[in-house]
Amino acid sequence: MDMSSKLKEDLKDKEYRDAFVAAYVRNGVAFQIRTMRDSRGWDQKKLAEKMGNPKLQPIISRYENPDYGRYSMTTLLELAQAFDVGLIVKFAPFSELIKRDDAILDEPLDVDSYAKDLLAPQRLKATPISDVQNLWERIDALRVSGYCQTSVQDRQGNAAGLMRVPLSLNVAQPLSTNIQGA
Amino acid sequence: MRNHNKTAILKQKVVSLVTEEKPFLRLKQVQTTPEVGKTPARGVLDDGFELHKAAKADFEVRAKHLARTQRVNWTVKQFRSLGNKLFEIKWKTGDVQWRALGYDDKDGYFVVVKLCTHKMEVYDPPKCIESARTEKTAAEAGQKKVIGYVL
Repeated sequence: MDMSSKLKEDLKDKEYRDAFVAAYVRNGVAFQIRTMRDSRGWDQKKLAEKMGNPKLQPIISRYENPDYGRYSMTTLLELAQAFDVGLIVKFAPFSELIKRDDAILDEPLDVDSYAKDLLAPQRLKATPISDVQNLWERIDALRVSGYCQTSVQDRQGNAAGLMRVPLSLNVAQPLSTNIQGA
Repeated sequence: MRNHNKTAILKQKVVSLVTEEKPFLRLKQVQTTPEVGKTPARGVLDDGFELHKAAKADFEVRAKHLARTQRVNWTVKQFRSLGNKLFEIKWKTGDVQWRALGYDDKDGYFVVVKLCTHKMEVYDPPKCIESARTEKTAAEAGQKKVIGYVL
């Protein structure tokens, strides 16, 4: 039985369902706060200072404990402001939860701040070696008058469209340089 | 001595940073009931959660989040060593503290050998840790069968 069909089966039980929703929120918030704080190199006191009150450190400690679960919307918003990130709170059908749960390992816990997310120069996503090899195979297959088309992704992994790529790519340079220059 | 310990811990962290791969937690469980016909085999987690669906949900969601996080970043409130390579995954359901005791096998799975609750430093069942050590020894020696647990 795979992950999502097992979850669908488990969710038939109301007790499981209710606990699952609560656990998802509690763990998600706690693990994200800890990860975002760590990635910025802040200790809990520093985060409290960023929230405008060093005395909030014990609250941060509680919020990072996934067993706590008594979050206030006001504090969550203050945390979002301190990290300079967005906050999405919404009710959702279980089918959406199952989809998200299915992709949970691919969803990063860390979230870029506004500056890093939108103000930093747009860079192409780093391309794994296997993808580069695939790209070369596709270039061979699509050879048309010295150019081929390939899809490119932005740094969030979203499709950013098709680009014409010259077949005389210089492999000594980063792939992104070649594509940007195409 | 303290510096030596710090260096050892640091080395351990570096090794785990290099060798660990997502998911950072994969589970197995000691089998309690063998497969019979079309009825699949059952394990210690299947049995323990049979009447505790909320605890099951809390455990599974916790495990999925631990699987997204490198072990060096797990906290003692979530996971701790009980000595001799026996560990416990910790979580709370309602007012009850739960513990899933287990060990890391050679294939990178965390094998749960015992499921217990914990209150005021007392485990229920009372000899949970001792029993877990016995189960671990038996499982590692191949005397107890180990089966998968899909999160």
